[in-house]
Amino acid sequence: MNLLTTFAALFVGGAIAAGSVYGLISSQTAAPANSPTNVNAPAFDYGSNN
Amino acid sequence: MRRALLREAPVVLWALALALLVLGPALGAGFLLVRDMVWVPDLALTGDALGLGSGLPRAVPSDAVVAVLDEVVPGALLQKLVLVLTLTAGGVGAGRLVGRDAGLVVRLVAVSVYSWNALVAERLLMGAWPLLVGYAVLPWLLVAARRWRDQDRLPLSLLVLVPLGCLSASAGLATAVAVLAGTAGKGRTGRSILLVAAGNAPWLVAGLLHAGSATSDAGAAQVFALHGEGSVPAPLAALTLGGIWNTLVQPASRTGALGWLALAVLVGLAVVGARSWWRRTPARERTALLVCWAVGWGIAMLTWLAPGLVGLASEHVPGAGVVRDGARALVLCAPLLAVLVAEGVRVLAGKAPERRVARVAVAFGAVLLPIAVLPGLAFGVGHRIQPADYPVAYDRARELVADLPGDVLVLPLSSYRAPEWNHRHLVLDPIGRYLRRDYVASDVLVVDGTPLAGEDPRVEDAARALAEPTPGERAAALGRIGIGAVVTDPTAPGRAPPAVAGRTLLDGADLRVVALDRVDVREVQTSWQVAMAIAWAAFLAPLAIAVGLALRRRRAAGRSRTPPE
Repeated sequence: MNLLTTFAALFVGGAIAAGSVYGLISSQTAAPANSPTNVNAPAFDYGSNN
Repeated sequence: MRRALLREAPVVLWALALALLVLGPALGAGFLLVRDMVWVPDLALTGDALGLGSGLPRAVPSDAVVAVLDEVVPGALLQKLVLVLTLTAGGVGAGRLVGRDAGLVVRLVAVSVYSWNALVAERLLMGAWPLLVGYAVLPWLLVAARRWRDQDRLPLSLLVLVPLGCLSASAGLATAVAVLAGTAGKGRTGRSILLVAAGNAPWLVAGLLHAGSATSDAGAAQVFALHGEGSVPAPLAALTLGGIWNTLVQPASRTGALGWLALAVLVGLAVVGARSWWRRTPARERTALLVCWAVGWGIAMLTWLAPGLVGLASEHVPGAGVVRDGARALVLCAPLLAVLVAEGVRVLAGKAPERRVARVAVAFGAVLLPIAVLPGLAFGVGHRIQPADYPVAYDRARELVADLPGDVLVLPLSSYRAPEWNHRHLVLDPIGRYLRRDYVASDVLVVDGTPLAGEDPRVEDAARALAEPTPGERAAALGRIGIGAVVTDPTAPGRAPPAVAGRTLLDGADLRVVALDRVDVREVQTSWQVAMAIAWAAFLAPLAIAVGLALRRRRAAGRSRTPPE
């Protein structure tokens, strides 16, 4: 039982740490989520509800 | 002393590391110009900054504070210092809030939750830095309030923290709620009310002076209400500090499976920790945190449940529009969330296996959890905040208008720009602040193509003047409302503004400057000047009192240490 909980703790902790590192690397290399503003619009949208 | 420093060092270093990770490449040379965050090399202490402009005081007192500080530290450096210190201080404050006696991992978890969440990401992308300063101050306010209750003596830190937490109207309201929730009772209430009134005096008094135009577009309440994030409904998103109205600044990771995972894990840990927290925390401390949370979540929910009511209030009650951006109020929910999640981790850690390696793994997982569910907050919030340099023409324009009479009109009459030199990122037109003069610029916000009415009556006057048939008549009409120069950004979108007669001082690719011949310089009523002088004196009074009291206490301590002759 003790071995099982130890393994579970290692798995959860390791998964979160690995997920964090993977997420950070992905966000470093990915393009911005929203492309820059459309420069041809007559006025820029301050934001959107959609 | 040394032991205390060693105990605090990991918390400070972790908070600093997270702040640096959040900003990342944004800390390079140049200015960070994103939506409402407009910093310039040397902001002037103009009438606008002091609350004496013609429109509602949107940047009072933050602009005045920056205008004073950037006399000492250059604007670009000051901006980075403010952002790094804000993000670091908020995290360290959350660590303090859970108590110095809590274990290191528990304090680090509190730092992570407070420094790395949707609210920080979304407000950074909105450029709402004064709100983030207020957010960083909140846990420190609650800690100072705790000390006041415990020691029955007003902590000097509170006298400094309150003005710092009141750099904008929304931040000031959150500060007021936190101070009153933490200190009310046993003879402290009166002094607390005086303190928060003093801290909020500049924007409050300036708002009252503009009471005639201090109402907002009723339709804006619907637009700015608390909003769901992807498939996560607004009330649930708010539980993990998300739910901003503007979907363009919601991190992608909040809108999908990770959003749900963040909700399940953070709220789950908070629920696990709630019972233990309730048992271990003194009733008065619980009340302070719960009142803050309830007010914050309540306001946010009100904007979602009854935007019509908020709109009605914004339209008819001066100043009520401050609460229309519902998710801003969620800053008040952050202290309790951080404390409960940290307590949840403490409870679970108590049930973790005895083996050291397993405990270390759990500790790593717990501290990194907020990052795992919101990785997009890193590196200048996903590279959307990038340093930029102003065009040389901005300096030239500033020199040219420096000695002209009257105010500056900024054209075209649209609020936001996305200049190429700013990587095409959206920013409130920065030229007005750059020029070191009072200015008139559009304050109309366009959301999904629908314009929301602005609040500065002089913008309407300027639009009417520009509608005159000839350049000469336009110049005369502008002169009558106190405009002495017209600065046009030819790169801005939309139709080119109509020509205005006058001396062309600059006609470049980035800016055009025309000086008008006749100007009726706008006079500010003496009563307004007196009222604002009193408001600024009130704002500065707590700081002066803090310095005075600190010196007195130091002298008294010195006397008590001197042996009698």
